[in-house]
Formats: sequence, structure tokens, C-alpha cells
Amino acid sequence: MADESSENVRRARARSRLCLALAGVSCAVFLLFLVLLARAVQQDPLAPLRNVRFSAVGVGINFALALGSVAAFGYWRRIERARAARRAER
Amino acid sequence: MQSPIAIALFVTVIVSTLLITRWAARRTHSRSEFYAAGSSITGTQNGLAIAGDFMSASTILGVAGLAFSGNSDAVLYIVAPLLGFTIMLLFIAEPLRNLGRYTVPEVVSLRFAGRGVRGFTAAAALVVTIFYLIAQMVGAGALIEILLGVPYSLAVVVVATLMMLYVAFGGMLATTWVQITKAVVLIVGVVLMTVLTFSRVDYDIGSLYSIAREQMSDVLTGNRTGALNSLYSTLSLGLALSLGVCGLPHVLMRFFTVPDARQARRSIVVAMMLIAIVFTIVLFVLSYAAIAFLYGKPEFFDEAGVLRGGANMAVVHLSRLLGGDVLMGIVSAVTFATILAVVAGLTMASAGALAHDLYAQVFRRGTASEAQELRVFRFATFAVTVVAALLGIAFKGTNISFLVSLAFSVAASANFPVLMLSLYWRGLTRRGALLGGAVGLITSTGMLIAGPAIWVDVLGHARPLVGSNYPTLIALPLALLTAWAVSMLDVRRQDLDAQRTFDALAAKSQAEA
Repeated sequence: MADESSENVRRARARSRLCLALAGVSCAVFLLFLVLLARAVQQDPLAPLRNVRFSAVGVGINFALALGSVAAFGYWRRIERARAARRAER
Repeated sequence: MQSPIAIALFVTVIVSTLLITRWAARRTHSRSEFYAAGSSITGTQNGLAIAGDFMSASTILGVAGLAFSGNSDAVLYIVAPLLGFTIMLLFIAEPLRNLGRYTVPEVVSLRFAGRGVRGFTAAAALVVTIFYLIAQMVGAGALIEILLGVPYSLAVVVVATLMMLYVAFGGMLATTWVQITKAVVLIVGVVLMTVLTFSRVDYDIGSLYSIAREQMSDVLTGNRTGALNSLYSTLSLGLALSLGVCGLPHVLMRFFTVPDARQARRSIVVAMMLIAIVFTIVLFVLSYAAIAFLYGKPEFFDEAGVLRGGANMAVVHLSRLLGGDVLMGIVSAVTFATILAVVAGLTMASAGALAHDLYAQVFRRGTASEAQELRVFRFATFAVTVVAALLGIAFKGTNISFLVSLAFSVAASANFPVLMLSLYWRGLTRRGALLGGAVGLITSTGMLIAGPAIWVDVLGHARPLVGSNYPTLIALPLALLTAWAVSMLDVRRQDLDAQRTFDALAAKSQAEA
């Protein structure tokens, strides 16, 4: 019982750390992109549309981070399931 | 522009969705079936439905319209929501599925017994869905008016009647399948337009961008009124569009339709992929194609040089240029289906908040029978329909993307902080949740009303009371700060039961399927 409880606490802490790290990186990159967008628009209102490469790279990085976070979270979930299965076998 | 093909396809969409509703109505009897389709939807189906629910008229018409008129905010509208879905996956989807049954206010009120918090969260959910409904009604009215020649007000009434029928008779099951159907036809539609766009430039996307850049230099001067013109507005709108996703009741409600947390996670993964694909195509192909091919073609512009039907119709005109009346009919029907699916989801969330939270729990204190609650649900559906139709007519001509950003601003400032804090902060008290949420709601709504878009453009005053249309950067921190300060001051009165409830809920919310 005590083992199970401490395992739950460990799992919850690991999950919180992982989620905060993934969300933190995504948010930081997103905010940086917003600042760059605002700066570009102040020089030329059409800059994000005219400079397709800038927009595509910005959007691409943000999308990749979002989908990467999904993949990382899914991978962690899989590891946790495998660990739980091993514990149940024991 | 009354093409017989467009009319035939519109009728096909209406008949198909009504058939879905009839099929669903035969399978929908209990409260669980009405609100959550009996939690019988698979993760993949729910992912398609979330994508169908989220990708509204503002995505297809509004974003391309913004880019077409030289407003760089289009990039922001595309990139921000995916961050919101990431946060939803990491922090919200599983707890919501594990703790709730039918509505989001139900989950928040698990922490705090009594009626105050539940009443507030239901009211905040209603405000968000009504703002969002107005945007969809305005889009639907304009689209049908230009395509079928039906007067704007009549078009709004037709859409309102259809959404009432879907929800009142088919409940969540009909809403889900209307959304799935819409997501599939939307993806087929944008892919078809992409192929036709590429074939027009010999499958060389570089030349598409070159033509678009030339047109921009010749025709567009750039929009100086967009959010990206100031750092404050950029950050504020960015926050609203990303965190607001996590506070949209009609999207969050979809997690109750799947059987467990694992399917809830799968839902988001599928939804994110579909949304990423469609958003990328809309911004990087269709918007540029509209700029490249429509400017310089007088048949698409009126005597004053304005695009017929306004900039929001850029994608519809592009479809006519690429594939004649047939493709225009298809794209118009897809857009119409898009609007129907989104309004069905919004009506479902509004009627659920009214019937399940406000009527059954706040006013009747849980004493209402299932039959009484379902009767009120149907009446609430009718009431929401009437209000949405009247507001849709009153807001005629307002920019769709802007109207959607209003809904996101309130969702990010009022719903999101209360939901996140009640799920993750042990120290939150009932007063903290109530006052924090109320400050977020009042500040965001007040600043929106006092901003240029409503105070000047709608109410006709000479100058706005607040300089910006985007309140989230002020309203969200203020809501969080109020919730924290009130909870800290309230800590002596916080009973141990509330903390024990949090511990029990925290364990349950993280349970693996």
C-alpha cells in the first residue's frame, strides 16, 4: 500500500516536471516568435506575408514543438505503462 | 452569384445533416446520451469532431480574408491555437475526462460544494459561447446572402433553425457526426483547392509566392490597424488565441464523449494533426493564391474596387477562379457545413450550461429529474437559438476573426484561470475562484466593450475609453493575481475538507485508463 502510494507520488511529480518543461519550451518559443513578428510588422506591415520563409520557419518551429510535445508525452506514457506492467508481474 | 450547383450542394448539406440528426435522435434518450453521446465516441472520431468543432468560419474565410487585405495578423491566428492544444493535452484533457461527466462547470464545482462557483463558471461559459455564436452567425449570413441571394436576416434564421434541430433532437451524437462529416469534407475541400492551385503554377510553389509578392508590392499597402502593430496587442492576442482554446466550453465538452483518458489523449493528437494540416494549407497556399490570382481580375471587385462580398469571401472567389461554378459550389457548401458544425457544438455547450448547471444544480439544487432536465435542455436550445439569431443580425458586417478573438479573450481571462487553478492549486479557495474568475470576466468584457471595435465602431462614440481591442494581457494576470490574493487572505477560513477533496480529486484526475 505504502509502495503504491509513493509510486503514485513519484509518477505525479515526474509527470508535472515533464509537462511543465514541454509547455515551458513551447511557450518561450511562441513568445519569441510573437516579439519577432511584432518587430517585423513595425518596420513593414506586410513583412510576415512578404517574407514567406520567415513565417514558414516560425510557424513550422511552433507546429513542430507542439507535435513534438505530443510525441514526448506519449513516449513517457508508454514508458510508464511498461513500468506499471513490470511491477504488476512482480 | 446564384449558381445552381451551389444551391444543390447547400441543399445536400442540409439534407445530409438532417438525416444524421434523425439517425442520432433514435439513439438519444438518456441524459448521458444527450450531453455526452453516452461516452461512446472513439478517440479518433472525437479527434475529427474536435477539429470539426474548432476550425470555424474564421479559419477558412477570416484568415484568408485578413491575408488578402494585407493584415499580417493572419499568421498569429494560425500559429497560436496549436500551442493551446498542447497545453490542453498536457494539463487539461485527462483530468477533465477523469473527473467530469457532462459539462466543464461540473468539474470545477467538484472542488467547491455549493452553487456559487458552479453558477459563475456556467455563466462564463455562456458568455464565451454567445460571443462565438455571433461570429458564426455573421459568417453564415454573409455567405448565404452572397451565394444564394437570400437576405442576410433570413439566412441567419435558417442557420439558427438548423442548429436548434441538430441539438434539440440529436443531442451530442448528432453534433459529433455533423462535426466529423464537416471535418472530412473540409480536408477534402482544401486539398482539392491546393492541387488546383499548384496545377495553375506548374506545381512550383516558388512561382506562386513570386506572383503574390508582386501583387503585394503593386496593390497592398499593409494594414496598420492589426494587432501585430504593437507589442502589447501582439502578446495580448497571442495569449488569447492560445490559452483561450483551453477555456472554450464547446471544445472541452468533447472530452466527455470518449470512454477514458487514453481516448481523450488520442482525440487531441488526431485533432492537432488535422488542424495543423488545414491551417498550414489555408495560410501558405490558399491565402497566397487569393493574393496572386484575384488581384487584377475586375470581375471579382465592385465599382469601388472592393472584393465582392468583402475580404472574407476571398477563398470563395478563388475557388470559382480555380474550378468554376462546380468548385465554388463545393467550397461554399464546405464552408456552410463548417458553420453548421461549429454552431451545433456551441449550442450544445450553451444549452448544457443552462440546463445541467444553472437549472438542475444551481436553481433546483440537484432535485430535478432527468426528464425535467432534458425538457429544460430543449427549451434552452430554443432560447440560445433566438438570442444567437438576434445578435447575429445586430452584428452584421463585423469582421469574423475579430468576433472570434473576443470569445477567445474572455475564455482565456475567465474560464482558463479558474479551470487550471481548481485542477492544480491546492490552496485555491471558493472565494478565490469566484473573485478571480469574476475579475477576469469583468475586466476582459469591460475592456472589449470600451475598446475601439465596440465603443467606436458599434456604439458610435468618437473615441474609445481603452486604446486596444485585446484585453488578455491585462485581464488574465489580474484574474490570477486576484484568485491568489483572495485565497491567501482566505486561508484561515479554508476547511480541511476542501483540501482533502483536492487531494482525492488530484489522484483521480491523474488516473491512467
